[in-house]
Amino acid sequence: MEFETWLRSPPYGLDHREKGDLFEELLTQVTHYHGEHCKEYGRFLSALGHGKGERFSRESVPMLPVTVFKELELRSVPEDQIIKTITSSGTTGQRVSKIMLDAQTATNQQKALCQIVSHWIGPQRLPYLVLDSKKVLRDRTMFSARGAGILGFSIFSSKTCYALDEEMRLDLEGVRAFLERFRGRPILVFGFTFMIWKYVVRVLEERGERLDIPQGFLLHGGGWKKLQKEAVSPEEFKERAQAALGIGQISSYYGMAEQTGCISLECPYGHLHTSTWSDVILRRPSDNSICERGETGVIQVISPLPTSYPGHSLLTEDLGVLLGEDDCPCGRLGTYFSVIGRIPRAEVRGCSDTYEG
Amino acid sequence: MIPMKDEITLLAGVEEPERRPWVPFDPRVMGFLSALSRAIRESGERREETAAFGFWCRPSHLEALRERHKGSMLRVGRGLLFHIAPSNVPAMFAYTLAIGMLAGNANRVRLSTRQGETERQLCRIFRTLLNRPEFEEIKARTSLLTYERNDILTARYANQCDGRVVWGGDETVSALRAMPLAPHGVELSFPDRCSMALLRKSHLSGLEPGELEDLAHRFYNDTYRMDQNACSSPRLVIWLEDGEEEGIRARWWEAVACEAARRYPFGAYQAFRKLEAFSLAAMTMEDPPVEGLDRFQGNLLMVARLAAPPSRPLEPNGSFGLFYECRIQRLDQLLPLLSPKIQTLTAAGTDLSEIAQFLQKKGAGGVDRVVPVGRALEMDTIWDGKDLISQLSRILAC
Repeated sequence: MEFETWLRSPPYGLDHREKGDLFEELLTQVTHYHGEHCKEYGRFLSALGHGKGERFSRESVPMLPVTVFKELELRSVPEDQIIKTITSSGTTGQRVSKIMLDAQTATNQQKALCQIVSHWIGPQRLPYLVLDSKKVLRDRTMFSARGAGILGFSIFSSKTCYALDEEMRLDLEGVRAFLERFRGRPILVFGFTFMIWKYVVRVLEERGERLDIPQGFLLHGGGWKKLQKEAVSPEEFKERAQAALGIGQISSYYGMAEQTGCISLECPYGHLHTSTWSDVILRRPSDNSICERGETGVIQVISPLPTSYPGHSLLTEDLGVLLGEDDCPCGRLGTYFSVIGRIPRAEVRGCSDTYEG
Repeated sequence: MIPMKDEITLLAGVEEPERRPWVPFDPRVMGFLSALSRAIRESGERREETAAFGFWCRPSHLEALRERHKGSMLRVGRGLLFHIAPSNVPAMFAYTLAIGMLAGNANRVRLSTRQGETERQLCRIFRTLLNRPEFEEIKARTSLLTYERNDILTARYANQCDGRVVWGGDETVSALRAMPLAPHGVELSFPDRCSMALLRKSHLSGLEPGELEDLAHRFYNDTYRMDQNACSSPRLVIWLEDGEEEGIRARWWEAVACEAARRYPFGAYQAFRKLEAFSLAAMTMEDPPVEGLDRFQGNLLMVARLAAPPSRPLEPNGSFGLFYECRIQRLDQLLPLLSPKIQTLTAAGTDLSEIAQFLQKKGAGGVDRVVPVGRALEMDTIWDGKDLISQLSRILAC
């Protein structure tokens, strides 16, 4: 299959064998490409004993730990071709990842995102309700995954409304006016899980208020680590968000700045689906072997799209469970899985790090 | 525990220790530490660190230390010492306190608020013992306390003492160094260090399977027991190539990995951090580059093979069982590797004093300690190249 044909394929139309063959072709190309164009990645490949002519499947492609982008600025194109650097927040207060995008990678990732989201909400542009504050876009220190996410989904929008004011207070009147204006029409609602929880759902509940967006499609992701701290399960979040927002459909997604665009969306059965442009493999920490269906493992994300930085196969710090492939009752082909949370921090012994705490 | 002021918690001893200096190795201190050793033994404690500290305090060892530090000059302690103990080296606070006592001082020790069970239990034993009437004098000059990071409080303690002993990383050392010290005060700092191991190939090749296992067990203790994060845990392993069996390398690492498989709690966190450290090293090291990766027992033990012996000091990152390995033909090839940051050289199959003399003769730029494999983590009154007893006491007359 031609690269361009692949880019324009339907998002959930490849079965195990088709995707396996296609990805082997693409991953082999892109791995060698990065090996030749990014000197750090080239050294990484040779340290692992990989050589020219070797083929790489989904299962065998080497994986970089996602955190290396926090330490190194990795790119596989000349510096002057970088048009955008995405930073990822990672964990609050820690070092950020820097992802270098050239026009081609940015465009391809954008196309993938477009196809995925269109599959769920339709091809038309929709009124866009952002459950966040506009200041996220202005404030440079906050402009990370959050700002990029809001802007990323804005390509699907006709009119935009920010539900939170500068002080992160819910502008109930403004939101109701916006909803009134587009009553009876589908609306795209977007936000970060924890922000929605803290500044919208909880606030509505406390005030005894409720929104009414029966035609709305809420897409939310990121930041569930904080939610875990408050001991809110995904089911409880969904239930209470549904009640407070009076919204038709709620769907979480799994994605990261290191593979922008290739998000996995949650189907009505609660399964996260990989698309035509990405895949996940669950790995056992003890030896990196592949987990069985239903077994908890570390999530490896694979996407042949990134060509400006070597991010086509990454081992994340997230734990998840592979639920199945090609056989979800929702009918979509491809791998589907669920996310459990971060790998828990272990107490580490050692000499340094004494006075703090 | 007795809460003091607002944020300080007294764990054992008194709030305001008296500061009159005693003679080094004062019989009262020797008696107290011996009693401590006995109390730990009798508590039936199995925790390795606690038991090791108890063993360290046994009368015969204290006596040996006294012998070693005996000199013709008349010595007395400095007065009151203030110690900052690390949070993640269990029992370290006890060693620094014991050494401060042996040098003839009263001691105030700040423990991290993140104490583990080992610390809590050791503090209990200290408390019980100090409350016995025969140790009243020791109690009056001992204060074990903890508080959240508080620069004002630390600065006060660090100033109101005759000497301070700062354990921990470079950051802690810098933070404390910025705090004024009484003009007559002394400061002993222990910053970040790194360590290496030297294995002689012919020696390892000649070992019986049981002996190799035993060496692997000791190597495990030097490394995995502290998550390979202690300053004296080796990260770089240097093979001295003097012929013999080529297969010994794999046999050795397999033996270490088997030991780790039996004893080391290895989870997703450790596996991820290890892969991260390896990947960063593989991507950034140039002189020499990483030539290959060998795994033993899955991800439990990883060995990054270096293409050549480094021609300059190397401070590789590696924890939880990530080793960097190179080969040398002659001891001379060690020298370019030795920066002041190198602390311990653990060695197997070579004459330790010969190596030490070689390093002295060649004017090595680093290495403060040459010990056999298995003793990397053993605390000593001579540490980081300093004689702690002599530095923490003063000479009255020569």
